[in-house]
Amino acid sequence: MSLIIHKAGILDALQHFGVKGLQSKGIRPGGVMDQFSASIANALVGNKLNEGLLEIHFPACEIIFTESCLISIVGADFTAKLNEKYLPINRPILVPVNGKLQFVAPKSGKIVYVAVQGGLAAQGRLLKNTIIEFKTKPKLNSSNLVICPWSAKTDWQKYTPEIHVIQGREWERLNEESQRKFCCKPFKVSHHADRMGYRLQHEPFDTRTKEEIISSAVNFGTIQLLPNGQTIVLMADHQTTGGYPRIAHVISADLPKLAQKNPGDEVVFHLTDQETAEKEWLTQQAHVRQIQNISQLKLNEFFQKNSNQL
Amino acid sequence: MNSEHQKGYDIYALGDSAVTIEFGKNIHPEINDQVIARLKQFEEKPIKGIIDLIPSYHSLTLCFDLSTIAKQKMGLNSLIDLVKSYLEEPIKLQHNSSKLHEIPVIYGGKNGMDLLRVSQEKGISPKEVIRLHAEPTYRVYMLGFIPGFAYLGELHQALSMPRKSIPQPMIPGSIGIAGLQTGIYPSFSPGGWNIIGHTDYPLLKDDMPMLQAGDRVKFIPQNQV
Repeated sequence: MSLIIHKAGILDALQHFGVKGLQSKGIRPGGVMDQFSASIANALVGNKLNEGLLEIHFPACEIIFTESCLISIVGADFTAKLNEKYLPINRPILVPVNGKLQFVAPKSGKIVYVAVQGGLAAQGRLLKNTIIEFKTKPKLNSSNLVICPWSAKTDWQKYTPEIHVIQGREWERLNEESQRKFCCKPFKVSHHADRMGYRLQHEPFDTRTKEEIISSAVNFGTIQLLPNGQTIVLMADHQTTGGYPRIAHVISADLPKLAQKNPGDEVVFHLTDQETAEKEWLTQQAHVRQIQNISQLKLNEFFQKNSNQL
Repeated sequence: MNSEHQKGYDIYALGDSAVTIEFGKNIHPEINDQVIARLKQFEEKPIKGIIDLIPSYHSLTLCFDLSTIAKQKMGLNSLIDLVKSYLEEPIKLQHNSSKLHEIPVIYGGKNGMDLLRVSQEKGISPKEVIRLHAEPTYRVYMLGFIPGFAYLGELHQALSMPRKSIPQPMIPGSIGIAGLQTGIYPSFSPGGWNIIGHTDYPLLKDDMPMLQAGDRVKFIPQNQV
């Protein structure tokens, strides 16, 4: 009742949805980079939305399922294959015993999530020969690969460069010209982009003052201005506090989209306000919940209809 | 942008789901006392939707669950009003009544490799560096950077050193100085502070930090250099 990491990827982990309540002790929340895709991956297999799941980068790990189970693949498209057969993303997939899951070529996005029905025990890096037990024994037993005939709509979320931001406490440190550039010029995500932060490529911004600030809290999405005029967007594994000016913050609803940007991809920042940030978040959450509800119905229907074969 | 200066504090939004209260403009024990006292107030009487609290030298940040915020009329703005009503309540500051940690230190040597360089650059003897570092009772102003890293202040002006330009690997228990701060690395980590000593004092227990914001620290030299 487990899956085995047959071959290790570069940066893969069994990821959770963030530790809460410990930042006063300097313990960062961490958690998934793209909460939207991760939630949908869980919804598609009938899990609670914040169940732990596999977070996979390219080059990706290879996984062998020692038991038949229901999985979903959501987020980046890395051309998934199961026992040499191509798999679509955004659908529930019934994996046969000893199914071998591989990702052969990155097509879009940066991070893919693989959820397993019932959830996975423990958390941590996915190294070669790591064995991850299923939390509950899957009720399925299939010797065939079955791709469910319905899919979740996730494309509205991706691939445009627009990222909405709210002004930060130290926004006024940018001089007028830099403020203008910040808001409309396309920047590229640099090669220094990991779970701690994505550095951006642009001409250095000019500031009105170089005065240091006293270290204070930062958040997932905080855009810091570095002393050399460059910027970094803090991501899931950010430190709890920082001493660089916080010029802006990416709105929560756009963090999943930013997380899926690869080095070289463009981003264009647009200023927005709190009201819009809240509205966008609720819209996104409603979309996820709708997928969750429909998935549950479809899964029930599917398993009833096919109960004699599974 | 939400910003207001009245009654000795400033309050502003930190992105769409957090609020920061700033109690002053500098690093001062009395300002930090207010941060710690208000931290306790929000811990004891949590606002609905609060998921995390981040105290720093001079500010306290409240992190909220965005769904909870967004479902309220007026969203984050209504929460800012609620936070302000908390700040109306009088608060008792606890000066120096918190826990004192007496931390034994081996200064210099292999695990305090920057002691001699600090001594040379500041033009004071290693013995004097140790005396100046071990003299004050420090305050834990905040935890941050890595789990359990305590920012201690204030260091004697005569020991103020810039951070190293290239971070170096640190071992647990390394005691460093930077600017007017001193601190102890609780775990293996890259770091840019100047390392003048080492301690075996337990800094983490079951991965949880032993030093808390508001605690006091006294370094006890264990050797002559």
